[in-house]
Amino acid sequence: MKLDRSTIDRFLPPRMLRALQRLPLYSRRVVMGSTTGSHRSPMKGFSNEFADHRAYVRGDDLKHLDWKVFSRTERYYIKQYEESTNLSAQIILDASGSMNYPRRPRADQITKYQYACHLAAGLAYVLTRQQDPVGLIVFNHDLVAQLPPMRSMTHLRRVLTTIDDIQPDERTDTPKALHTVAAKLKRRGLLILISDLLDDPDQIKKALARFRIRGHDAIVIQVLHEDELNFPFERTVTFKDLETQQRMTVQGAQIAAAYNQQLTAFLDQHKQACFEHHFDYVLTSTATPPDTLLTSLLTRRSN
Amino acid sequence: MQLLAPFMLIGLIGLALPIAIHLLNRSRNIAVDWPTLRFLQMAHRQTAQGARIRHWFVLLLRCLLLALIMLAMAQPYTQDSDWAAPPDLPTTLVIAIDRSYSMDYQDLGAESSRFERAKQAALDQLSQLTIDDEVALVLFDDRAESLTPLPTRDHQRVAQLIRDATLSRRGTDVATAIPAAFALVQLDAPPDQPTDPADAIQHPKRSAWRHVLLLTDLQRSAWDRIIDQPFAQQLADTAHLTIVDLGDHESANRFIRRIKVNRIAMGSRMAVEVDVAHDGRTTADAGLARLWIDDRQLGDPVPVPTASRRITLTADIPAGAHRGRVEIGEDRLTLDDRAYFALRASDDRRLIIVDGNPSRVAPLSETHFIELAVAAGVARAGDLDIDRLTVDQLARTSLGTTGCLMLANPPPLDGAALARVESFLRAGGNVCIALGDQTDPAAFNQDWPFLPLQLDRQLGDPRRSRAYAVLVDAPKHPIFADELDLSATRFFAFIGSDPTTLRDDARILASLSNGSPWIIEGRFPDAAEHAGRVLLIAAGLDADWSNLPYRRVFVPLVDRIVSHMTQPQLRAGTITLGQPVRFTAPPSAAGRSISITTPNDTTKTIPAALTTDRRTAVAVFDQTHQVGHYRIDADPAFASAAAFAVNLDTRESVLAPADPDDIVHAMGDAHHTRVITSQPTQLTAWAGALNEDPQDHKTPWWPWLLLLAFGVFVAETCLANIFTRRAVTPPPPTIEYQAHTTRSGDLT
Repeated sequence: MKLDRSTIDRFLPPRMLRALQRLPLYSRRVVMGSTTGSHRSPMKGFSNEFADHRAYVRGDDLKHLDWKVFSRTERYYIKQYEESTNLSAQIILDASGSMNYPRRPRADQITKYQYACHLAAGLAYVLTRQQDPVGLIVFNHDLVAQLPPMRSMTHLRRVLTTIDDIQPDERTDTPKALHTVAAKLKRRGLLILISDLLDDPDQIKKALARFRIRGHDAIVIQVLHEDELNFPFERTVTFKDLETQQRMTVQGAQIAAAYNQQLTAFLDQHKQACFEHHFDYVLTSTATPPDTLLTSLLTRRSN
Repeated sequence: MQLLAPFMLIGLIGLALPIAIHLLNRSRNIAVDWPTLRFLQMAHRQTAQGARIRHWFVLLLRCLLLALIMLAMAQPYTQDSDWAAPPDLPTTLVIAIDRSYSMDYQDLGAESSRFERAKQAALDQLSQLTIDDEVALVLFDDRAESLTPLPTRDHQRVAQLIRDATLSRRGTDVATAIPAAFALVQLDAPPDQPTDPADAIQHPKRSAWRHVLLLTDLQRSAWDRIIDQPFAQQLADTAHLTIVDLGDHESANRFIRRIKVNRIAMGSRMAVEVDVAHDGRTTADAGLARLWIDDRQLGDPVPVPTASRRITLTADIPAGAHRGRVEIGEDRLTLDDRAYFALRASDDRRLIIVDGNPSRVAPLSETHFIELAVAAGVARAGDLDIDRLTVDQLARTSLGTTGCLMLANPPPLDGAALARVESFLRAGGNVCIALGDQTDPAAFNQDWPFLPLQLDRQLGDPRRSRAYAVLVDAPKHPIFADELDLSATRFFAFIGSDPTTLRDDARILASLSNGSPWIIEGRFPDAAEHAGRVLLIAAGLDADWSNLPYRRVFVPLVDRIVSHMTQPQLRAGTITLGQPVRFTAPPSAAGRSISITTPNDTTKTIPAALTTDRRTAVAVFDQTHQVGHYRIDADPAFASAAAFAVNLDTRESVLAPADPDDIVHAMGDAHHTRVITSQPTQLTAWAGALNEDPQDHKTPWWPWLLLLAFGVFVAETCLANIFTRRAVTPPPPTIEYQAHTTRSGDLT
């Protein structure tokens, strides 16, 4: 798929590029990159940060020999340093049917999926700009598309092309997708989950736990539409589920309170899960400009 | 419950309207694609049950509102179920028929009189009774007469009693009829019980539906005692009371309310004043009023006025006893279009002067100045027959029945003389008593029953140390009608009397300046209407106790007294139907009889009996049940007139009806009362009309239904408003960027 300039402008408008130009995205945990980079690695390497001594073995480079220790102990020790590595990030994007709300957006509206694409594009741009490879996994009830982590601008274009080509559809199975992703990732990295998370909170919590166990850092961005948050319906409305196509007629004014109560409880579960796993959790509305959200997110993480 | 406009129930189809609106609203709702029904389903489960109940409740209210409106437009009503005879109970019916003379009225367009229609209605009701039903008959006017001592199953006998019932000539008083009927309807007994009327009240009552049917013309005067007084509490028994109004509210009646017979000046010319009354509508042609004396028409007929007014019929009438009547043009109630009177006309003008203390020296005589004054009135004296008697002669002389007996300074009279005076008074003669120094107040008070008040004692000083002026109390009385100058008249002594003992029929014509009565006029108490007058002068008409004989006013004063007391009288004896007539006589007449011949030529004899004080012999005739002339054949001691006349109590002639609502209200809630009005005048329509409950006794329910509908409307509006109001919702989840910080370990 050929990416034209308009696609880039659509996902990465100048305003967003300007806002994200100087903002880094660091992992709060040690990651295992493939090359040297600006992120902490669990491996011992040759950065400026001293880590430990070990006994000299034949073949070691003599320039790492600690002569001061040799003078005191007449034994050969080699100085070891912490390794700096790059950040391998995976953007996990939900492309289920529920992300296609509103199905017929007004001129001043975008769908949740489009909003998520803006976020994904911005984050991919930030990571690419700081020379960190970024991969893409798109899922609904299964994996729809996946791009391996790479750090070229060409790859960024590929990412944009991929998310632009995908039409959100089908049912969601977020836990299954997360488990699949967890099985594929070999190195510790940063996972950025952008989804409405309209799935079983307990299953999602278990999937996130698996990331946590494997040492990944994660950012969970839950994207909901303004209507979902405020439920503006007063009259009798027939709701049609975008994923299951089920219909349900309710009196809007009568269930609004109960709806908000249920929704708040649901969101609290996700908040609590992320809190327990020390992941960042961001709840956002499509009414919030993506650049504003990303600026806020990255600024907060850089402090 | 029945409906006046059942076709309006078609509107109940409108009940489909709210249901259709409900269904249409459900189908016309907005369709929205929604990310997930997860929360909606949970919220719906949370609220669905209450919402469903509320929806159905509101729908039910709306349907109820429409149904109530439609039902109200159908004008439902209930007939008093109390009036439907329970099918499992026999009926005990008391038929009370008004037989007052107003029931003789024949309504416009009616085939017969109200009384005949009442009888037919009663027979119709009787024919509908079954063999287990018991019936009793009460005829009433101002008295109630039970023609059957107990309710009976012999319907044929009751029917015959109804057919034989006749009108009375009396008025109506329903307050006597209803208690009698209510008491009678309770006297039914179980079939196995004896039916002795005396023991009936002791027997257990049978289980029956007790009903009193009152057939009357609903005159207001007949219901006065019920409406104006708390009547309902007086009824010990309860029963269902149906009052059938047989009257036509457009009725009109013209009748003679009262007659009065006068003599025109002197001579034999007589004037009969007739009060003609109109009740209800008036007619342009009211006919002529005619005067009949001894079955001969006298005088010229006079047109009867078209409004209530007094007319005068005049005729020359010879002296003697006569039977007269006045007739006006007949209308629909003929009984009250004539009035009777008995007349005794006299041309005699006679003055009997009794000198209580005669003297050979004329100026010392008690009657000297009186005779001078009478003689001075030359013109009048020419018409007078003057007799002079002494007290001794009084007991032996027949005084006749007319004229004036003047007792000048009389001493206490013996029994014979006193009896003469009493007889004279009873017969219609007048007595003038001029008191003087021979007056013994105690003896007079005891023996002279005809004194208008009690005498006290002699007051003043005959030696003229004191003087009392005269004050006229009755300036319009014939004696004092034209001004008499009594200013210079002074009295020095007189017989004092107690004004508080004045009889009801007496009055003080003049008093002295100390307040003591001087001239008192009264009637012989306890005597017939035609009894004579008594004029008591507390100070004699001589010069012993006053200067009156020397004053210029004396002659005209005596002349007027004599003229007033000797005026020939027309005495028209008239009493009201049912009123007893008393004949009095001296005690010596006890045991003697009076024969009275009624208008239908039935002669009845009444013995006279002494009163408890043994001072008077009295005979009372109380069978004045017929209208007309009653001839009297009595001992002269009774000094009675030759005849008297009995007329109707014309209060019954006022046919204005009572308000049915007032009647029902007066009967109270304890007694189930209904009044059936506006009944047809055709006999053939009676049976059906009586069974059909008239509209007046239907209880309309539509106002209550409308009120209820309004309440439902208000409730529906409020509930719908509450149900559609958005519930207080918790604030939506915040979307501000929130990050987990390991340092704080807190969620923000």
